[in-house]
Amino acid sequence: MTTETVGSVEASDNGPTSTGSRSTMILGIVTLVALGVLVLFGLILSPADENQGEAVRIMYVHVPSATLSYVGCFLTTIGSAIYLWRKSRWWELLAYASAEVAALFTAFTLITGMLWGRPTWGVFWIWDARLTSEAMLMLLLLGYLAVRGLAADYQVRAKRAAIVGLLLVPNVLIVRESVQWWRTLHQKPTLSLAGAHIEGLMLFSLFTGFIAITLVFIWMVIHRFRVAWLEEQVDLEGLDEAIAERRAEGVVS
Amino acid sequence: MELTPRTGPDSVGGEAASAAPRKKRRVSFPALALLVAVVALGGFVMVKALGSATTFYRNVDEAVAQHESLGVKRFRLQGTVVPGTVVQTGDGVTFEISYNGVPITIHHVGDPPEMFKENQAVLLEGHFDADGTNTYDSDLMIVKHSEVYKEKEAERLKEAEVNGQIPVTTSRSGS
Repeated sequence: MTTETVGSVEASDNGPTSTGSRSTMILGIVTLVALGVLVLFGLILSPADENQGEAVRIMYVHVPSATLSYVGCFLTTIGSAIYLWRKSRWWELLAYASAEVAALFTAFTLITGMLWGRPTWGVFWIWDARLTSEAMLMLLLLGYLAVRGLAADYQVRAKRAAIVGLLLVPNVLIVRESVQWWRTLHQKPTLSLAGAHIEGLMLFSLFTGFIAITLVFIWMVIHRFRVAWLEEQVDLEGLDEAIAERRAEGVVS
Repeated sequence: MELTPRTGPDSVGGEAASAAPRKKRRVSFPALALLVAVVALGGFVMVKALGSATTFYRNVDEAVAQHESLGVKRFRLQGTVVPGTVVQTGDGVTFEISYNGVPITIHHVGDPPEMFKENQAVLLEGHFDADGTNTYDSDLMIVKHSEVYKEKEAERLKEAEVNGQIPVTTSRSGS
């Protein structure tokens, strides 16, 4: 145990002091507008699919939220690695905030996927490589959050969680490549560097989905980070008070 | 809670004092290397475990080639529904699927999924018929979708252009 990370005075200077700010309020408004545009194109203007019918519309949120959950996992792994290396509180809290949002987006991906699977495949769930690896990712994210939530010192919790956090990116790569490496019921990527198997208004709707869901992701991570940061500040201030009391006792003599 | 006494709040020695524990942390690098090794191993095991997913399903041509060794063992079969072969039966539906030009007759028990139709890839669960013919008895049918999306209306417009008339029936109601 060291005294180094208890330096709350320096930390609070460059961290957030509230959960809101003018710039993120504007971001929030832009996000709501983008969601409105997504609803307009995804549910009204875009056509039904030749094979999947109306169920295709689920794809406009399913694919972007899956992609953004991967982004969240990348941020968590990067933040975890930097925390283990440098003991940076800022990066640890970013990793934590990202993991929580990534868990939400992964759950949303699973739910929308099942809602799409029932009318198009005929089943909600099947244990193919894509769905199995995605379920493992969900469990790993929940494991990360559980480990970080265990009652212990901040440093202990953060270190344990960071170790779990390192596993996220490998898992994401398995999910991402599962449809290429193995035979799966789940289709291969529609968008790839080789080109897109989608066009016209459907492609544009997917594009608006990416923009709207990305904005939601950014907004959520920023706010979750601020809350986590302020929570740690409260803990540290409590600690400072405890230390001050102890020191005061010593001075009395 | 970390309650190790500190020097006074006005001392700026925090940075200098932290240099010593930093050095201590470097010692844990072998532990970190071990962790990386464990992670790599875990990943390897996971990939191996998922490797069995290679036989998640067999395509028709592969299954027909392995007919003898498969016997009446249960496995998943994938192929495309051959147009004009779908016949409703008392307890389900009979049709042909093919893959790589190799066809097989399917006896499916139960209602086919809503999106079951001709030229659609399907995934079946079942086994070869015990009589040894090129027939597969299925009790679970799943419609497999490709990564290709096509606008329904655009397709109808194209049909209209080809036929040179307004498409009164889209011939898709049969499924």
